[in-house]
Amino acid sequence: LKLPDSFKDFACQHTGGKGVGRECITHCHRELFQAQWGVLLDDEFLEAYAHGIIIKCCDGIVRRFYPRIFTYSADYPEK
Amino acid sequence: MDLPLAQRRKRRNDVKLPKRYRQFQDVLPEPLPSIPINEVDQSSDSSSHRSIPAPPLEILPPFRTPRNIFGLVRQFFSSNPPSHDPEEAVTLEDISAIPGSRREQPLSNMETTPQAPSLYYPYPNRSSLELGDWYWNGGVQKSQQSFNDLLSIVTNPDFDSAGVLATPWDKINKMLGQNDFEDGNEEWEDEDAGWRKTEVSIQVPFSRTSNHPGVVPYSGVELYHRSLVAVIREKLANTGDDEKFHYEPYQLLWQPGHLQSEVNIQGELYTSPAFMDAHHDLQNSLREPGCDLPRAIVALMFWSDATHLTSFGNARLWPIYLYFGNESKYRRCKPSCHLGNHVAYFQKVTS
Repeated sequence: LKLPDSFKDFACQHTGGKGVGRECITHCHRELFQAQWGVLLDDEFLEAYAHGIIIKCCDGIVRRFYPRIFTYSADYPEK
Repeated sequence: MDLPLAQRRKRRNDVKLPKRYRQFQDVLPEPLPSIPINEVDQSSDSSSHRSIPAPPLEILPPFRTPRNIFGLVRQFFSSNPPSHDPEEAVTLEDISAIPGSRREQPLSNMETTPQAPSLYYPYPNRSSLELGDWYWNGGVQKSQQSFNDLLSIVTNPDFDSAGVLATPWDKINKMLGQNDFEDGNEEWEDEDAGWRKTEVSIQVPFSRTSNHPGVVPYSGVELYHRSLVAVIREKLANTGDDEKFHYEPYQLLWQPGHLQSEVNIQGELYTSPAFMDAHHDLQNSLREPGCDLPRAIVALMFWSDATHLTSFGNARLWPIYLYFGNESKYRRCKPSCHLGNHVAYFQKVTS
Protein backbone atom coordinates (compact mmCIF):
# COMPACT_ATOMS: atom_id res chain seq x y z
CA LEU A 1 0.00 0.00 0.00
CA LYS A 2 1.56 3.20 -1.14
CA LEU A 3 -0.80 5.34 0.86
CA PRO A 4 1.13 5.85 4.10
CA ASP A 5 4.09 7.60 2.47
CA SER A 6 1.96 9.88 0.38
CA PHE A 7 -0.10 10.82 3.42
CA LYS A 8 3.04 11.50 5.44
CA ASP A 9 4.37 13.72 2.66
CA PHE A 10 1.06 15.54 2.53
CA ALA A 11 1.06 16.10 6.28
CA CYS A 12 4.64 17.29 6.33
CA GLN A 13 4.02 19.67 3.48
CA HIS A 14 1.31 21.42 5.47
CA THR A 15 3.08 21.47 8.81
CA GLY A 16 6.51 22.57 7.74
CA GLY A 17 7.97 19.09 8.06
CA LYS A 18 6.66 18.33 11.55
CA GLY A 19 3.85 16.00 10.53
CA VAL A 20 0.59 15.64 12.39
CA GLY A 21 -0.07 14.23 15.83
CA ARG A 22 -1.45 10.85 16.73
CA GLU A 23 -4.92 12.24 17.43
CA CYS A 24 -5.02 13.74 13.97
CA ILE A 25 -3.96 10.46 12.39
CA THR A 26 -6.70 8.65 14.28
CA HIS A 27 -9.18 11.23 13.10
CA CYS A 28 -8.03 10.86 9.48
CA HIS A 29 -8.18 7.12 9.77
CA ARG A 30 -11.81 7.29 10.86
CA GLU A 31 -12.64 9.82 8.15
CA LEU A 32 -11.07 7.60 5.52
CA PHE A 33 -12.91 4.54 6.79
CA GLN A 34 -16.24 6.37 6.73
CA ALA A 35 -15.51 7.84 3.31
CA GLN A 36 -14.84 4.38 1.88
CA TRP A 37 -18.12 3.03 3.25
CA GLY A 38 -19.70 6.12 1.71
CA VAL A 39 -18.43 4.91 -1.65
CA LEU A 40 -19.73 1.38 -1.12
CA LEU A 41 -23.17 2.56 0.01
CA ASP A 42 -23.61 4.56 -3.18
CA ASP A 43 -26.74 6.10 -4.70
CA GLU A 44 -27.42 2.92 -6.63
CA PHE A 45 -27.50 0.97 -3.36
CA LEU A 46 -29.63 3.55 -1.56
CA GLU A 47 -32.09 3.51 -4.45
CA ALA A 48 -32.26 -0.30 -4.20
CA TYR A 49 -32.65 -0.04 -0.44
CA ALA A 50 -35.63 2.28 -0.71
CA HIS A 51 -37.38 1.02 -3.83
CA GLY A 52 -36.02 -2.49 -4.32
CA ILE A 53 -34.49 -4.04 -7.40
CA ILE A 54 -36.49 -6.18 -9.79
CA ILE A 55 -34.83 -9.50 -10.55
CA LYS A 56 -36.12 -12.48 -12.47
CA CYS A 57 -35.19 -15.42 -10.32
CA CYS A 58 -34.09 -18.79 -11.58
CA ASP A 59 -37.49 -20.26 -10.70
CA GLY A 60 -38.98 -17.95 -13.34
CA ILE A 61 -40.75 -15.69 -10.86
CA VAL A 62 -39.97 -11.97 -10.97
CA ARG A 63 -39.50 -10.52 -7.52
CA ARG A 64 -38.61 -7.13 -6.08
CA PHE A 65 -35.68 -7.44 -3.70
CA TYR A 66 -34.85 -5.05 -0.90
CA PRO A 67 -31.31 -5.26 0.49
CA ARG A 68 -31.05 -4.99 4.26
CA ILE A 69 -27.87 -5.09 6.31
CA PHE A 70 -28.16 -7.60 9.14
CA THR A 71 -24.67 -8.10 10.44
CA TYR A 72 -21.33 -6.39 10.19
CA SER A 73 -18.47 -8.35 11.70
CA ALA A 74 -15.28 -6.48 11.21
CA ASP A 75 -12.01 -5.56 12.66
CA TYR A 76 -11.18 -1.91 12.95
CA PRO A 77 -7.44 -1.49 13.03
CA GLU A 78 -6.89 1.41 15.41
CA LYS A 79 -3.20 1.69 14.75
CA MET B 1 1.89 -57.72 30.43
CA ASP B 2 3.56 -54.37 31.01
CA LEU B 3 0.65 -52.43 29.53
CA PRO B 4 -1.50 -50.40 31.87
CA LEU B 5 -4.76 -52.05 32.75
CA ALA B 6 -6.88 -49.58 30.80
CA GLN B 7 -5.06 -50.39 27.60
CA ARG B 8 -5.11 -54.12 28.09
CA ARG B 9 -8.84 -54.25 27.79
CA LYS B 10 -10.11 -54.36 24.27
CA ARG B 11 -12.51 -51.57 23.60
CA ARG B 12 -15.65 -52.21 21.69
CA ASN B 13 -16.71 -49.24 19.65
CA ASP B 14 -19.87 -50.68 18.21
CA VAL B 15 -21.80 -50.89 21.47
CA LYS B 16 -24.98 -48.86 21.41
CA LEU B 17 -25.85 -46.53 24.25
CA PRO B 18 -28.25 -48.03 26.76
CA LYS B 19 -31.76 -47.32 25.65
CA ARG B 20 -32.50 -44.94 28.52
CA TYR B 21 -29.82 -42.56 27.22
CA ARG B 22 -31.07 -42.68 23.70
CA GLN B 23 -33.59 -40.04 22.82
CA PHE B 24 -34.49 -41.40 19.44
CA GLN B 25 -34.22 -44.63 17.58
CA ASP B 26 -31.13 -44.38 15.41
CA VAL B 27 -32.11 -41.65 13.01
CA LEU B 28 -29.89 -39.81 10.64
CA PRO B 29 -30.02 -36.05 10.52
CA GLU B 30 -32.84 -35.16 8.24
CA PRO B 31 -33.77 -32.01 6.35
CA LEU B 32 -36.46 -29.76 7.71
CA PRO B 33 -40.00 -30.53 6.63
CA SER B 34 -40.67 -29.29 3.14
CA ILE B 35 -43.89 -28.01 1.62
CA PRO B 36 -46.34 -30.75 0.58
CA ILE B 37 -46.40 -30.99 -3.20
CA ASN B 38 -50.05 -30.08 -3.77
CA GLU B 39 -49.54 -26.86 -1.82
CA VAL B 40 -46.60 -25.85 -3.97
CA ASP B 41 -48.58 -26.46 -7.15
CA GLN B 42 -51.36 -24.19 -5.99
CA SER B 43 -49.00 -21.41 -5.16
CA SER B 44 -47.07 -21.51 -8.41
CA ASP B 45 -50.36 -21.48 -10.31
CA SER B 46 -51.56 -18.39 -8.59
CA SER B 47 -48.28 -16.57 -8.99
CA SER B 48 -47.94 -17.35 -12.67
CA HIS B 49 -51.44 -16.07 -13.38
CA ARG B 50 -50.55 -12.87 -11.60
CA SER B 51 -54.06 -12.65 -10.18
CA ILE B 52 -53.92 -10.98 -6.83
CA PRO B 53 -56.71 -12.34 -4.69
CA ALA B 54 -58.88 -9.83 -2.90
CA PRO B 55 -57.50 -9.18 0.56
CA PRO B 56 -59.24 -11.47 3.00
CA LEU B 57 -61.47 -9.80 5.52
CA GLU B 58 -60.29 -11.93 8.37
CA ILE B 59 -56.64 -12.68 9.02
CA LEU B 60 -55.78 -16.19 7.93
CA PRO B 61 -53.49 -18.31 10.10
CA PRO B 62 -49.89 -18.53 8.92
CA PHE B 63 -48.91 -21.43 6.73
CA ARG B 64 -47.32 -24.35 8.59
CA THR B 65 -45.52 -27.43 7.37
CA PRO B 66 -46.15 -30.86 8.85
CA ARG B 67 -43.86 -32.00 11.65
CA ASN B 68 -40.70 -33.88 10.82
CA ILE B 69 -39.38 -36.81 12.83
CA PHE B 70 -37.85 -34.48 15.43
CA GLY B 71 -41.10 -32.62 15.96
CA LEU B 72 -39.91 -29.54 14.07
CA VAL B 73 -42.41 -27.36 12.25
CA ARG B 74 -41.80 -24.42 9.95
CA GLN B 75 -44.27 -21.57 10.25
CA PHE B 76 -44.31 -18.81 7.65
CA PHE B 77 -45.33 -15.19 7.80
CA SER B 78 -47.87 -15.56 5.03
CA SER B 79 -50.92 -17.80 5.05
CA ASN B 80 -49.82 -19.12 1.65
CA PRO B 81 -46.97 -21.54 1.22
CA PRO B 82 -43.77 -19.98 -0.12
CA SER B 83 -43.32 -19.93 -3.89
CA HIS B 84 -39.80 -21.26 -3.56
CA ASP B 85 -38.74 -23.77 -0.92
CA PRO B 86 -34.99 -24.21 -0.56
CA GLU B 87 -35.40 -26.92 2.10
CA GLU B 88 -36.70 -29.17 -0.62
CA ALA B 89 -33.27 -29.16 -2.27
CA VAL B 90 -31.42 -29.91 0.97
CA THR B 91 -29.74 -33.30 1.08
CA LEU B 92 -27.99 -35.19 3.84
CA GLU B 93 -24.68 -33.98 2.42
CA ASP B 94 -25.71 -30.36 2.99
CA ILE B 95 -26.44 -30.82 6.67
CA SER B 96 -23.67 -33.17 7.62
CA ALA B 97 -19.94 -33.41 7.17
CA ILE B 98 -19.69 -37.10 6.38
CA PRO B 99 -16.42 -37.48 4.51
CA GLY B 100 -16.75 -38.94 1.08
CA SER B 101 -20.49 -38.50 0.96
CA ARG B 102 -20.28 -35.28 -0.98
CA ARG B 103 -21.37 -35.65 -4.53
CA GLU B 104 -19.31 -34.16 -7.32
CA GLN B 105 -20.17 -30.49 -7.29
CA PRO B 106 -21.55 -29.36 -10.62
CA LEU B 107 -19.28 -26.83 -12.24
CA SER B 108 -20.37 -23.27 -11.74
CA ASN B 109 -22.31 -21.65 -14.50
CA MET B 110 -19.46 -19.18 -14.96
CA GLU B 111 -17.81 -21.86 -17.07
CA THR B 112 -17.76 -20.62 -20.62
CA THR B 113 -17.34 -23.93 -22.40
CA PRO B 114 -20.66 -25.74 -22.60
CA GLN B 115 -19.26 -29.26 -22.71
CA ALA B 116 -17.59 -30.79 -19.69
CA PRO B 117 -13.90 -29.87 -19.78
CA SER B 118 -11.50 -32.71 -20.31
CA LEU B 119 -9.54 -34.21 -17.46
CA TYR B 120 -6.43 -33.06 -19.29
CA TYR B 121 -7.65 -29.50 -19.80
CA PRO B 122 -6.72 -27.56 -21.87
CA TYR B 123 -5.64 -30.62 -23.83
CA PRO B 124 -8.42 -32.89 -25.08
CA ASN B 125 -6.71 -36.20 -24.30
CA ARG B 126 -3.82 -37.78 -22.50
CA SER B 127 -1.57 -38.23 -25.51
CA SER B 128 -1.89 -34.54 -26.42
CA LEU B 129 -1.13 -33.55 -22.86
CA GLU B 130 2.00 -35.69 -22.84
CA LEU B 131 3.17 -34.23 -26.15
CA GLY B 132 2.41 -30.70 -24.95
CA ASP B 133 4.31 -31.38 -21.74
CA TRP B 134 7.24 -32.74 -23.71
CA TYR B 135 7.26 -29.69 -25.96
CA TRP B 136 7.00 -27.04 -23.25
CA ASN B 137 8.68 -28.57 -20.23
CA GLY B 138 11.34 -30.75 -21.81
CA GLY B 139 13.94 -28.00 -22.06
CA VAL B 140 14.89 -25.86 -25.04
CA GLN B 141 17.61 -28.10 -26.41
CA LYS B 142 17.07 -31.53 -27.85
CA SER B 143 18.86 -34.20 -25.91
CA GLN B 144 19.10 -37.94 -25.98
CA GLN B 145 16.97 -38.08 -22.88
CA SER B 146 14.22 -35.93 -24.31
CA PHE B 147 14.26 -37.95 -27.53
CA ASN B 148 13.75 -41.08 -25.44
CA ASP B 149 10.92 -39.36 -23.61
CA LEU B 150 9.27 -38.56 -26.92
CA LEU B 151 9.69 -42.13 -28.08
CA SER B 152 8.07 -43.49 -24.96
CA ILE B 153 5.09 -41.19 -25.48
CA VAL B 154 4.45 -42.16 -29.10
CA THR B 155 5.14 -45.86 -28.61
CA ASN B 156 2.76 -46.15 -25.67
CA PRO B 157 0.06 -48.70 -26.67
CA ASP B 158 -2.57 -46.19 -25.50
CA PHE B 159 -1.22 -43.46 -27.77
CA ASP B 160 -4.17 -41.78 -29.43
CA SER B 161 -2.90 -40.57 -32.79
CA ALA B 162 -6.36 -39.57 -34.03
CA GLY B 163 -6.87 -37.47 -30.90
CA VAL B 164 -3.48 -35.84 -31.33
CA LEU B 165 -4.24 -35.02 -34.96
CA ALA B 166 -7.51 -33.37 -33.97
CA THR B 167 -5.92 -31.27 -31.22
CA PRO B 168 -6.07 -27.51 -31.90
CA TRP B 169 -2.44 -26.92 -30.94
CA ASP B 170 -2.24 -23.23 -31.82
CA LYS B 171 -5.32 -22.42 -29.83
CA ILE B 172 -4.15 -24.33 -26.77
CA ASN B 173 -0.67 -22.84 -26.86
CA LYS B 174 -2.20 -19.37 -27.07
CA MET B 175 -4.41 -20.14 -24.06
CA LEU B 176 -1.43 -21.37 -22.09
CA GLY B 177 0.44 -18.18 -22.87
CA GLN B 178 -2.37 -15.97 -21.69
CA ASN B 179 -2.21 -14.43 -18.28
CA ASP B 180 -5.49 -13.18 -16.87
CA PHE B 181 -3.81 -10.27 -15.20
CA GLU B 182 -1.71 -8.88 -18.01
CA ASP B 183 -4.26 -9.14 -20.77
CA GLY B 184 -4.50 -5.57 -22.01
CA ASN B 185 -5.51 -3.23 -19.22
CA GLU B 186 -5.33 -3.91 -15.54
CA GLU B 187 -7.93 -6.43 -14.50
CA TRP B 188 -9.14 -4.07 -11.77
CA GLU B 189 -10.29 -1.52 -14.26
CA ASP B 190 -11.97 -4.02 -16.50
CA GLU B 191 -15.69 -3.30 -16.41
CA ASP B 192 -16.54 -6.95 -16.97
CA ALA B 193 -14.87 -8.04 -13.78
CA GLY B 194 -17.16 -5.55 -12.02
CA TRP B 195 -14.35 -3.89 -10.10
CA ARG B 196 -14.15 -0.16 -9.91
CA LYS B 197 -11.49 2.21 -8.71
CA THR B 198 -12.82 5.26 -6.92
CA GLU B 199 -10.74 8.07 -5.57
CA VAL B 200 -11.63 8.90 -1.98
CA SER B 201 -10.80 12.19 -0.34
CA ILE B 202 -10.95 13.28 3.26
CA GLN B 203 -10.71 16.59 5.07
CA VAL B 204 -7.58 16.85 7.17
CA PRO B 205 -7.56 19.48 9.93
CA PHE B 206 -4.32 21.36 10.63
CA SER B 207 -3.97 23.09 13.96
CA ARG B 208 -3.39 26.76 14.59
CA THR B 209 0.27 26.12 15.30
CA SER B 210 0.98 24.70 11.87
CA ASN B 211 2.15 26.71 8.88
CA HIS B 212 -1.19 26.61 7.10
CA PRO B 213 -3.94 26.27 9.71
CA GLY B 214 -7.33 25.07 8.54
CA VAL B 215 -8.86 22.16 6.73
CA VAL B 216 -7.15 20.77 3.65
CA PRO B 217 -8.64 18.04 1.50
CA TYR B 218 -6.41 15.01 1.06
CA SER B 219 -7.21 12.85 -1.94
CA GLY B 220 -5.30 10.21 -3.76
CA VAL B 221 -6.66 7.25 -1.84
CA GLU B 222 -7.84 4.68 -4.33
CA LEU B 223 -10.58 2.35 -3.20
CA TYR B 224 -11.00 -0.85 -5.19
CA HIS B 225 -14.58 -2.03 -4.91
CA ARG B 226 -17.54 -3.63 -6.61
CA SER B 227 -21.07 -2.36 -6.88
CA LEU B 228 -23.15 -3.95 -4.12
CA VAL B 229 -26.22 -4.01 -6.36
CA ALA B 230 -24.24 -5.81 -9.06
CA VAL B 231 -23.09 -8.42 -6.52
CA ILE B 232 -26.71 -8.94 -5.43
CA ARG B 233 -27.89 -9.29 -9.03
CA GLU B 234 -25.12 -11.74 -9.78
CA LYS B 235 -26.02 -13.80 -6.72
CA LEU B 236 -29.69 -14.10 -7.61
CA ALA B 237 -28.93 -14.94 -11.23
CA ASN B 238 -26.70 -17.84 -10.17
CA THR B 239 -28.75 -20.99 -10.73
CA GLY B 240 -26.60 -23.12 -8.46
CA ASP B 241 -27.02 -20.84 -5.46
CA ASP B 242 -30.57 -19.77 -6.15
CA GLU B 243 -31.97 -23.20 -5.39
CA LYS B 244 -30.92 -22.90 -1.77
CA PHE B 245 -31.61 -19.18 -1.35
CA HIS B 246 -34.38 -18.41 1.14
CA TYR B 247 -36.62 -15.66 -0.18
CA GLU B 248 -38.88 -15.88 2.84
CA PRO B 249 -38.01 -16.23 6.49
CA TYR B 250 -39.86 -18.70 8.67
CA GLN B 251 -40.12 -19.60 12.31
CA LEU B 252 -38.72 -22.95 13.25
CA LEU B 253 -40.88 -24.33 16.03
CA TRP B 254 -40.52 -27.33 18.28
CA GLN B 255 -43.17 -28.88 20.43
CA PRO B 256 -41.51 -30.83 23.21
CA GLY B 257 -43.69 -33.32 25.02
CA HIS B 258 -43.30 -31.73 28.44
CA LEU B 259 -44.22 -28.19 27.46
CA GLN B 260 -47.57 -26.60 26.74
CA SER B 261 -46.43 -24.27 23.98
CA GLU B 262 -44.11 -24.44 21.04
CA VAL B 263 -40.52 -23.28 21.37
CA ASN B 264 -38.78 -21.09 18.83
CA ILE B 265 -35.60 -22.67 17.50
CA GLN B 266 -32.91 -20.17 16.58
CA GLY B 267 -30.10 -21.08 14.27
CA GLU B 268 -30.23 -19.41 10.90
CA LEU B 269 -30.60 -15.77 9.96
CA TYR B 270 -33.69 -16.63 7.92
CA THR B 271 -35.35 -18.14 11.00
CA SER B 272 -34.40 -15.20 13.23
CA PRO B 273 -36.79 -12.61 14.68
CA ALA B 274 -34.70 -9.88 12.97
CA PHE B 275 -35.33 -11.33 9.52
CA MET B 276 -38.99 -11.96 10.35
CA ASP B 277 -39.39 -8.34 11.48
CA ALA B 278 -37.71 -6.99 8.35
CA HIS B 279 -39.89 -9.23 6.18
CA HIS B 280 -43.00 -8.19 8.11
CA ASP B 281 -42.19 -4.49 7.76
CA LEU B 282 -41.54 -4.90 4.05
CA GLN B 283 -44.80 -6.75 3.38
CA ASN B 284 -46.74 -4.10 5.31
CA SER B 285 -45.03 -1.16 3.61
CA LEU B 286 -46.52 0.76 0.71
CA ARG B 287 -45.95 -0.90 -2.63
CA GLU B 288 -44.12 0.82 -5.45
CA PRO B 289 -46.76 2.47 -7.66
CA GLY B 290 -48.23 -0.03 -10.11
CA CYS B 291 -46.07 -2.89 -8.90
CA ASP B 292 -47.61 -6.12 -7.67
CA LEU B 293 -44.44 -8.24 -7.67
CA PRO B 294 -43.71 -10.38 -4.64
CA ARG B 295 -41.27 -8.58 -2.37
CA ALA B 296 -38.34 -10.20 -0.61
CA ILE B 297 -35.45 -9.25 1.65
CA VAL B 298 -31.85 -9.78 0.63
CA ALA B 299 -29.99 -10.18 3.91
CA LEU B 300 -26.52 -8.69 3.67
CA MET B 301 -23.85 -9.82 6.11
CA PHE B 302 -20.58 -7.93 5.85
CA TRP B 303 -17.37 -9.38 7.16
CA SER B 304 -13.86 -8.11 7.11
CA ASP B 305 -10.51 -8.96 8.54
CA ALA B 306 -7.24 -7.26 7.72
CA THR B 307 -4.75 -9.89 6.66
CA HIS B 308 -1.02 -9.97 6.45
CA LEU B 309 0.04 -11.06 3.01
CA THR B 310 3.59 -11.99 3.87
CA SER B 311 5.40 -13.48 6.81
CA PHE B 312 7.96 -10.70 6.65
CA GLY B 313 7.30 -7.07 6.01
CA ASN B 314 3.98 -5.38 6.37
CA ALA B 315 2.15 -5.81 3.10
CA ARG B 316 -1.46 -5.94 4.23
CA LEU B 317 -4.87 -6.23 2.71
CA TRP B 318 -8.10 -5.21 4.32
CA PRO B 319 -10.77 -7.02 2.32
CA ILE B 320 -14.52 -6.69 2.84
CA TYR B 321 -16.63 -9.74 2.12
CA LEU B 322 -20.34 -9.98 1.62
CA TYR B 323 -22.32 -13.05 2.62
CA PHE B 324 -26.03 -13.57 2.22
CA GLY B 325 -28.11 -14.43 5.29
CA ASN B 326 -30.69 -16.02 2.98
CA GLU B 327 -28.28 -18.93 2.73
CA SER B 328 -27.70 -21.50 5.41
CA LYS B 329 -24.77 -20.99 7.76
CA TYR B 330 -23.78 -24.57 7.11
CA ARG B 331 -23.25 -23.75 3.45
CA ARG B 332 -21.77 -20.30 4.05
CA CYS B 333 -19.00 -21.78 6.17
CA LYS B 334 -18.02 -24.38 3.56
CA PRO B 335 -15.32 -22.82 1.41
CA SER B 336 -16.22 -25.25 -1.38
CA CYS B 337 -19.62 -23.55 -1.73
CA HIS B 338 -17.95 -20.21 -2.63
CA LEU B 339 -20.60 -18.12 -0.93
CA GLY B 340 -18.39 -15.23 0.17
CA ASN B 341 -18.17 -12.29 -2.21
CA HIS B 342 -15.30 -9.82 -2.22
CA VAL B 343 -16.76 -6.35 -2.41
CA ALA B 344 -13.86 -4.04 -1.58
CA TYR B 345 -10.33 -3.65 -0.36
CA PHE B 346 -10.13 -0.87 2.18
CA GLN B 347 -7.20 1.47 2.38
CA LYS B 348 -6.01 2.87 5.64
CA VAL B 349 -3.93 5.72 6.92
CA THR B 350 -0.86 4.54 8.78
CA SER B 351 1.36 6.83 10.69
